Amino acid sequence: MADDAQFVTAVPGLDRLLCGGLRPGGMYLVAGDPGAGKTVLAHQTGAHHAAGGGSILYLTALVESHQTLLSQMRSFSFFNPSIVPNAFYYASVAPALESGGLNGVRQEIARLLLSREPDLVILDGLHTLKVMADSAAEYQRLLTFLQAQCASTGVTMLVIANREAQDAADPMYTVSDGILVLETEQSNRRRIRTLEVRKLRGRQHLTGSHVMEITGDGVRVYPRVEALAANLKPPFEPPLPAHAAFGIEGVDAMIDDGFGSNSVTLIPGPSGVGKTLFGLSFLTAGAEAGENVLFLGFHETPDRLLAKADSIGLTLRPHVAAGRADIRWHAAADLAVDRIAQGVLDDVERNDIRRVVIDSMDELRHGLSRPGRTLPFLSAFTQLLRGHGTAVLLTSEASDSDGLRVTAPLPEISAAVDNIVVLRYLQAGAQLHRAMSILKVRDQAHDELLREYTISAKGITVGGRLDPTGLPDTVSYAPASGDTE
Amino acid sequence: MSALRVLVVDDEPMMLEIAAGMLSASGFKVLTAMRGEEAIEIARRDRPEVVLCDIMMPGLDGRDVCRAIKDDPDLGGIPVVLHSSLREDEVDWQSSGADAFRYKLSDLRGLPSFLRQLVEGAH
Repeated sequence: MADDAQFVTAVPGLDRLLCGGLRPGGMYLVAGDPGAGKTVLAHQTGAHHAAGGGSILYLTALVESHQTLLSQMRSFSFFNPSIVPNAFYYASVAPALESGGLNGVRQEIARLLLSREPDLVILDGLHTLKVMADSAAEYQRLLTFLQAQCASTGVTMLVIANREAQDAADPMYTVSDGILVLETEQSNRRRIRTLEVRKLRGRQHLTGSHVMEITGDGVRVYPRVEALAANLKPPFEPPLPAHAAFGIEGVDAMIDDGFGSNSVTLIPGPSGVGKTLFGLSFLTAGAEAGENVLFLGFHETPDRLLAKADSIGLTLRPHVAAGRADIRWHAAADLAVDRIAQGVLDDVERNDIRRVVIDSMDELRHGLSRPGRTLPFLSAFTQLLRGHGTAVLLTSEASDSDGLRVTAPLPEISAAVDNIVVLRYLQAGAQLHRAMSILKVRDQAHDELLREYTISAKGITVGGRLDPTGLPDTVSYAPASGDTE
Repeated sequence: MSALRVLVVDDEPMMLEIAAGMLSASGFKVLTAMRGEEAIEIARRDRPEVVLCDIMMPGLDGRDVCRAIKDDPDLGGIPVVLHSSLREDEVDWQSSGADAFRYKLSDLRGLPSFLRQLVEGAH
């Protein structure tokens, strides 16, 4: 058997963590608390191989009854009960355990392997076998036996076990070829399921813990974008030959007919200053140029956004109708960021999307469960998008209460983006003016003037150099403080 | 028809148990040894019809065992299969006079029919 052969788990996202799948003939521990999804995951893999003509042996050791397992699995779309018993065979090792101890279990497993000739064995209830062992040596002997059986017959084995405090000392952690740990963690008053590949012998994998969900379709894992980006080989930094026009005449003139076609642009500014309209203009310009484009929003529904685009004369609506432009809206309460990011990346890949607007990055930041993750997440996410040749525009509401002073949304955000366009209000007497300035364009000349712009039914109009008379003489874009996260 | 007698030699108890268990369940009469010296002694005493011997063992290794059997006028006709966790192209097994090589990490389930064919071919 080739060393690079893969035994796919068929759990969406998991095979990506495993860089392809498991090694045929390997023994893998699936560990987690009760209810973490271990049994569902194992059934999902088994059902996939059974449906493809494989033979699955599901061994239980004083855990749920086979009737209970079947009843639970019927509710999942991946499980067709017709695969039982021919392709998916349940057997209990409990009688052998009671009559012959772990030695009896070894003999029973050897007998079943011979008679069923399975491609995959799932052993559910390792903790029971450990408790029933007469000695630590007997338990170790069982594990060595299982591992040798797998190696010598090419059978892949998933061993399901509850997690225990003394896990690290369990010889299963040494003997197994890989360890998948399923956990839950508290985040923003929500319980989040996670999966981590703790060990994978002789194979590359995506490290760290990753968000996992269980739905009616079974288990799905969303690889952390930071891990996906770190796995890019070589780090993808394509050239930026073409320009992504904004579609706003005065703006494009300021930036030499557009930003790099796979660059990342940040637009910070106060509420109501027009950040979303800049994003919609950017999107429409791409669609007009024949590109597929995506708007990822958290505040306004697609209908409201289209009405907003209509109100300033943008021709986005027909592009949405034609399928060239997609507006995806996520309620602020449903901020499973890794799932959202994976959905965007899948769409970009599948539909060759060339522009993505994220309105705003602040919602992604609030949805991230771990402090300090925002910048690594955004850097990785945008790196993956730009690796596809996609231009990204991020908006961010970052200002003081009167909108006159704009603050960078994160310390060091500048390093993660190529371009920064600051939108702000300036006060002259009782009148507020909208003004824009281009703070940064990577590797590209740009206009450095502060310019006024107006928003009307005709669109966004950028004027000439702002008349400084009566305006405050201060820089109104400041770096974020270190404790922004 | 009487059961074929096979001598299985391996210093790893689990591999010995697995191979012996599988062959026994497939109708073989299985003799076992965990050391090369013991294997030669059993071969002289019990005259197996085929030998399956691990290569890497302490003391006499599998190739030494094979040479001893092949050099013995009374035992030389017994087919000897060497098997190892090393791949066939990673170890010199032919110079010992062995009849065949099996990679340990291939599908053990094909072993009973393989040994039967080997014995039938030797007669």
